[in-house]
Amino acid sequence: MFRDYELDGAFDEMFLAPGKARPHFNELFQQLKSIEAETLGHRQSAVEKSFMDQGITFTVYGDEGSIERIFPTDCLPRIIPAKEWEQIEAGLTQRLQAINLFLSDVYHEEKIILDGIVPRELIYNNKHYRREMRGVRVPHDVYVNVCGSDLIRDADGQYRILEDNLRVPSGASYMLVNREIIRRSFPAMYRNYNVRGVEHYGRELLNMLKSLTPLSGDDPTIVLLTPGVYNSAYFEHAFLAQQMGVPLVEGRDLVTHDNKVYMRTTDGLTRVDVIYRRVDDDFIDPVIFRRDSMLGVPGLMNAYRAGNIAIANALGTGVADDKALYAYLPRIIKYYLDEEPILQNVETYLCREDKGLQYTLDRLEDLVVKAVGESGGYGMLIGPHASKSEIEAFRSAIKAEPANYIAQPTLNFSRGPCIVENGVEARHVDLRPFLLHGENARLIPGGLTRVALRRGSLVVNSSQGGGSKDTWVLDE
Amino acid sequence: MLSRTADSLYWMSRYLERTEHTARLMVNQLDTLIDQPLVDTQASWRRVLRSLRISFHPDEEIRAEEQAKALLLDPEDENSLFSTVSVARENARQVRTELSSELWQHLNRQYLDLKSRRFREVWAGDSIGFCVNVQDGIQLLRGVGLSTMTHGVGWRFMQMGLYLERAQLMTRLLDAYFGALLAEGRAPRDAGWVYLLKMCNANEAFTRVHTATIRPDLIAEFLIFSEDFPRSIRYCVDRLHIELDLLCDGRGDRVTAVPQRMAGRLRARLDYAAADEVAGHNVTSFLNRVHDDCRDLHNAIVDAFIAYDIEARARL
Repeated sequence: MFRDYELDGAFDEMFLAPGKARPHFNELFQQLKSIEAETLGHRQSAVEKSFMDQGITFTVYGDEGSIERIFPTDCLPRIIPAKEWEQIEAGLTQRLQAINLFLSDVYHEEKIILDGIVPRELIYNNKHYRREMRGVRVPHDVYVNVCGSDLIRDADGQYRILEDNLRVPSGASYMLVNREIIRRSFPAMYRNYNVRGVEHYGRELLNMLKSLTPLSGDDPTIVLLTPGVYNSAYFEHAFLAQQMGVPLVEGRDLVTHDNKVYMRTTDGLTRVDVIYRRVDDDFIDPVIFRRDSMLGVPGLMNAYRAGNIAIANALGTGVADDKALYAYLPRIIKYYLDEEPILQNVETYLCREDKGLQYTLDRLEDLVVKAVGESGGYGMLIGPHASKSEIEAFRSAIKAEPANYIAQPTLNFSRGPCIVENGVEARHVDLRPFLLHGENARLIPGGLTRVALRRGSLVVNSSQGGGSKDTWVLDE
Repeated sequence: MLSRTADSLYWMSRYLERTEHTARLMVNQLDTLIDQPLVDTQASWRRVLRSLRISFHPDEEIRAEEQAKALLLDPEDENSLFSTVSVARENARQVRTELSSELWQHLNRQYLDLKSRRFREVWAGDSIGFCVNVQDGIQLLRGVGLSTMTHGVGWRFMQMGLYLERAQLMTRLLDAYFGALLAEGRAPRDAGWVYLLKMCNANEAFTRVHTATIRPDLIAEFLIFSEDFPRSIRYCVDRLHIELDLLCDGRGDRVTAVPQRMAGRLRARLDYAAADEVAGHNVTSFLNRVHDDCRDLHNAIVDAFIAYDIEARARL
């Protein structure tokens, strides 16, 4: 079963050495040894069928239009012992605290810029910096209410933050659906392992949103704002709205009047207090941002500035999840909290700096180069896997616009066991936990483990053929 | 409920009703080909197409295969079964979270099935059976909806859509039979009247009440005024009024009172019509008035619940 399981070159989640599993993976290992490869294959097929039957899909936009795809889930859980989770929780909480202080500062006194910690143009030239947010007060001074930072493990097994996702991070629905389906695949093992639950995510999310309301009423009206059925993450929007029991609305369902926000219902207009928005800043208010947007609510920004509506996540958070700003995060944590980061960044070279640019251009075949504004795994060069022409194309692009690029070493980040045709093989995985922040921060014990399904591939994004795993955080 | 959601459910329901109606028309119209020369197929085609507001050349022979091709699976023809099911499904997709999963799955399956069929095979095979299946599929959908959906606001809009569409389709079908063509002196032969009853799914019900004797005036009376038969115009407007009242359920205001009053007046028109209003040539104007009332009622419902002015219905 584990005949082709590759152990060289990266930290393995499951194995200490060939045939010797880490303690927290041991029970799974023993179980797998006692199952026929065929049975395991059947279980994996059953998992896939569950997803098909329920129609849990996301949409991939390509050259020939759009296709609805099932997000493949591997049935083997990723297991994280309690001690490791403690570090992750502390590290992410610390990081988010610093990020929120940073955002508040950047949109008010700008002390961090005046003190020369972060270059001015990195903020002002950032397309996600919203001048309209200057001086706006947000509930609890918390800008990022839902944080989905991505973690990987380096060769030494250390968790590192790969990137922050502070605008409209997605994946929580897959975390929930994976848990529901995988738990049924290995019920006895699930019980034995004492896994911490994630099913309360909807409740936690709702509580967090409730805490944001500017009104003191008992029953604030909360809505989830979606771009609509044609958005690739629509399944998640509908799913989370249903989990929370809140209306799923589109921009055209909302109307502003007198700087307040209302929903168009068959009973007339209903006042809205909190919007959990899954629409980007650019599209959210055609009066202020993109005029051609059909997805937004005209007048929303004015209602927001007037303090009559709470929006999660706040507008303008993108200035902090910029790939270039990422390199400054350790300095930002130090500046606001006077602490060393509990979770390290991945080593990053800024092409906007001469040293970083030279370092990068000299080693394009070895590095991962990312365009600062992109997401979803697009605009990225993976040096060791790229062709000569791809490398040269990137070289020109970097030389043309150095400030737009950063480089990182090609991390062979950790691998975990995945079911393949003839047994179990190792595949690269990352981790996206979901940290909620209303008045206080709450980390859900689990998250979305994404898998690069192709052997040797380092690309885990759903839009480019990645898959996922259920993540078991143990309760020891 | 969000106005947009109510709107989608309403239109989904109307398109499902249209699909079932068209399917049943086709079942029986294709049947007439077998029944010739008892039935004048060409005359029957003209009535059917006229009722569906599909234009045709009055002097040319209407070819069954050509019409079937357009009306069964043609994605470019907005009247085809495939098109109307597609629109219903698209509306459903927009508000999928409001539907029971059973209802969605049935509708989706129906759509996918129609999408996979090729006209040539259907025509070479059992085209009548094909239409029966579509008809049955919609009826099944209604049943599934009835037992799996919460009968709340969304349900009311689905019901209103169903009965408004049915009422309008019935007025047009009956007008095609009784109205214009009667005036021109070309009444259907007996077999033609039986087909009308079958197209309304009323043959058995009518026979139970009036025996097998064919009397067009009794048929008109039955299809327009029957209290109990679910496809009669009266039944539809009765239900419309009831559903609207249930929807407003004491929560109405000045704005919602408008469609409620209109529904009430329309119901009264059917409840209290005198026999002479539908006698002879009067039947045309009667049916047209009902059709227009339905259209006005639709507009009033949209104005009150869906596309209202902010100022009109603000509870600010």
